[in-house]
Amino acid sequence: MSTTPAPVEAATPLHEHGPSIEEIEQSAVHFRARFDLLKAEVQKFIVGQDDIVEHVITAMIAGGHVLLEGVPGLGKTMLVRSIASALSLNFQRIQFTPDLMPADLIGTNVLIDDGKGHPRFEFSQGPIFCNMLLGDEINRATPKTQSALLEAMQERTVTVAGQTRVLAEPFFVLATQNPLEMEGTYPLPEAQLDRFFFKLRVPYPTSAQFESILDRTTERSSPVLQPVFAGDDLVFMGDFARGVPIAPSVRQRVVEVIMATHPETELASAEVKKYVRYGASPRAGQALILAAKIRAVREGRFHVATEDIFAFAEAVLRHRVMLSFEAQADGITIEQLLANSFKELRQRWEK
Amino acid sequence: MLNVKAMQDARTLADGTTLAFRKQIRMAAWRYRLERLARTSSRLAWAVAAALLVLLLVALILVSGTWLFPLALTVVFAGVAVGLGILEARVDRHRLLVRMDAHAKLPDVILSAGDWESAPRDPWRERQRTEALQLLSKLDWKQIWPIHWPRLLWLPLVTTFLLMAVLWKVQMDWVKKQWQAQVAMQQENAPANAEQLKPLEQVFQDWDEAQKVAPSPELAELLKQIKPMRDQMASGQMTEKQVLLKMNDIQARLQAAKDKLEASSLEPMAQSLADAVKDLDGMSGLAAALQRKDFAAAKEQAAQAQQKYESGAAKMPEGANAQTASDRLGEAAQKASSDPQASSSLSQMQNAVSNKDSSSMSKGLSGLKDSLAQQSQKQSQCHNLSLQLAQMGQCKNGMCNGSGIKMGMPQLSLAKSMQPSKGAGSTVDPNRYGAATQLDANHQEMKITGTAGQGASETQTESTKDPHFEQTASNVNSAQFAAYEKLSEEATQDENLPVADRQMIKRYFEDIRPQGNQ
Repeated sequence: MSTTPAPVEAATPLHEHGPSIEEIEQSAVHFRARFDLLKAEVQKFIVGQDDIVEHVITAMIAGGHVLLEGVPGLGKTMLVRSIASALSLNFQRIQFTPDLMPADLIGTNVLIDDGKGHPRFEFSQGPIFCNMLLGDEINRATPKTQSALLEAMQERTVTVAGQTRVLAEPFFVLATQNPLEMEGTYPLPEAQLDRFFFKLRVPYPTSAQFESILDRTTERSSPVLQPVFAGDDLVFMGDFARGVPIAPSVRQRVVEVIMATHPETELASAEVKKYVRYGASPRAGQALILAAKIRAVREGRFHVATEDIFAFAEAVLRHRVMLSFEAQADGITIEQLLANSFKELRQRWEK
Repeated sequence: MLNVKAMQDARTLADGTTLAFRKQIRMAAWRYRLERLARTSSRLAWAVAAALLVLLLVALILVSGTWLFPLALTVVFAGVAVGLGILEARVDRHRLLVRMDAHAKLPDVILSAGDWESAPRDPWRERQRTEALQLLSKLDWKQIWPIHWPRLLWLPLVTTFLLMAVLWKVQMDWVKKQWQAQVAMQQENAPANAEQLKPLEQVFQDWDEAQKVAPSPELAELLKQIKPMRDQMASGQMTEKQVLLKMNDIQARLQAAKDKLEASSLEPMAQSLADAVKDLDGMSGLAAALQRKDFAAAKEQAAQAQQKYESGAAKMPEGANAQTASDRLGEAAQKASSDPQASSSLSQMQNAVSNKDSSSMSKGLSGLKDSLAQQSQKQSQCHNLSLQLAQMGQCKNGMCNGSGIKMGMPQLSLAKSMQPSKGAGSTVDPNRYGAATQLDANHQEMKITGTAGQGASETQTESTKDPHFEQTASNVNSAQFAAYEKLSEEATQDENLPVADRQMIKRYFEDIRPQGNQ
């Protein structure tokens, strides 16, 4: 029969030094509990935005950076501050402005007199030396300043005057930006965009959420956030999630999702071929699988499912797929394009 | 430190999981195959039905081709084979696992577990396999994966069955006709065996015998001409058809000879001759013999009369009787122009009556005697030819009855008819050559209607007395035969019929041909 599975392999021992199934299940329970705890703590202050909160926490567990986009006043900064407050992390906030220089961000060597007549250069750390960096309105800075974040975001190091300095672990950049159509903004370079794990669009709250926001922010007492666990736990959670296995078939689907954004491949739809300038990088695949693994654990599964991939595909690919001018002229949004592409892929897989 | 418990769990789980997977996948694979067949069954069934419809149309248009029904069977079997092929076609394992997950609403659980079956063991994968197996063991595939056969699938299936039945009927009718025609053709072309030809040979032997009894140059010539045919018959080289054709030739030859003899025969004017001589002295016997058309007796009577006139024992008519006798003799002489000698003799007798010359009358009677002798001989030959024609007709009639010549056993005998017998020639059959039989029956048809049973019942009696010719089937046959024969000839010539069929139709009309003057 063609469906005959592979021959039964000889029983081999499990990881002799690894965790047992019971230990894994126990860790998974702790993982879910911490995730829910963090989320609940953040949502003490942040009304609604469930998906945004979950996405941000997921990215942080995966060790990724998040770019939050939305019009001013939607609580982007407050969200990041809330998360930082809920975790015992060293938090820094930088308000990006057009006159912000790279040195203002990463620090610089300053001439210091030790009082004995021996002047010397001493490195003065910039705000980037923290666990969580909030880059507020990042697209208001010039590309030069924006690019100063490149090394820190990818290698988690900073090089000043030929000396490389390692950043603290964990290190996250949560940046916010205003839509590009707004006055006085500079588009982020593609290389930097690619370094963001997710790009999230913060939606306007619903009426009910809006009312709740007004209540919470206009009362005398406002919620106080308590740290629920330390940054090390976040690293541990990320490490645990990486152990979630992904089946070859599902991994293949991830590849197909990424390849479908490349107009030159056979997997690309006619729409992608027409409107996409270039597709997502391999970093997108990495981000997709990592995020999917975290979601699998969150959902109580011990494997990555296709639905985990699609749960984050838009957030992962939104800023990595570059549309052509023709798409902009035809009013095609990246969300529409991705939705159609995913639909085609699903239909193909279900055949 | 070694995690012994985990290893043991893994070993147990590993074997159990894999085997259970195999079983579950096999069960789901059947659902997958059935679903695949159900999805395509309607289209497949309609395709087969459409193909059969085309074949049926071809069969109805061409009305030929024994290959159509086998082809239709092939189409049906091909459809079944395609169906079985779809059922048995390779099942893509990956798709099967995906479909299992979809039906069981398990997001890639079985797919992942299936992918990892042969992967290196680790707790995560074993955990997943165990979970998948536990889920699978609780699933009722019939419930979660129902097979939906098309609701109207019965329609193409019934259509297919009906088309096959109609095609079978159309084809079988055609095949039956073909088979019958083939058998008829084989029979026709088959060499006639000795048993079949025995009656005809008996006829020919009868003619041989007749030639010995009373040698005749005409019969000798005829026997000489049919000698090759007899040889072929004896060697079994002749088919039934060839025999019939030869018999037709012989019949035509006999009929021609008979027609020639009848052309110079005095039989039609025998009554006139009798009238001419009946009032002459000593010629009443001659007149009676002529009236009976017995030329042999007439010859004897003419010889006696001649002696009487030669000896002067007979008186010549006188007065008005002489004139009347002379006129009648002149009239008879004119009518007998087909026989110059008879005509000349009668003219001489007319002159003798006019001149009252007995010797001249004697000479005229002498010439008439010679002529009557020849007529007697011609009458005999004509009789023989009629007999031969009847013999041939009898043989052919037997052949046309559809069972060869067996039924045409010759009952007539030329040789026997030539053998002198006691009392032969003393009487003459008044209907010797088959004049129409006068039916004189007083037909009465009765029709009684009523209620049978005990007690009084009402009955009615109707009597009809129809003219006998309306009751005679042969008359109806005669009236309609010509029309039917014409129709059959037109049909056999115009229609595209096999040769053997055409021959059968001809035979049929030959069978129902009314005999003689019926």
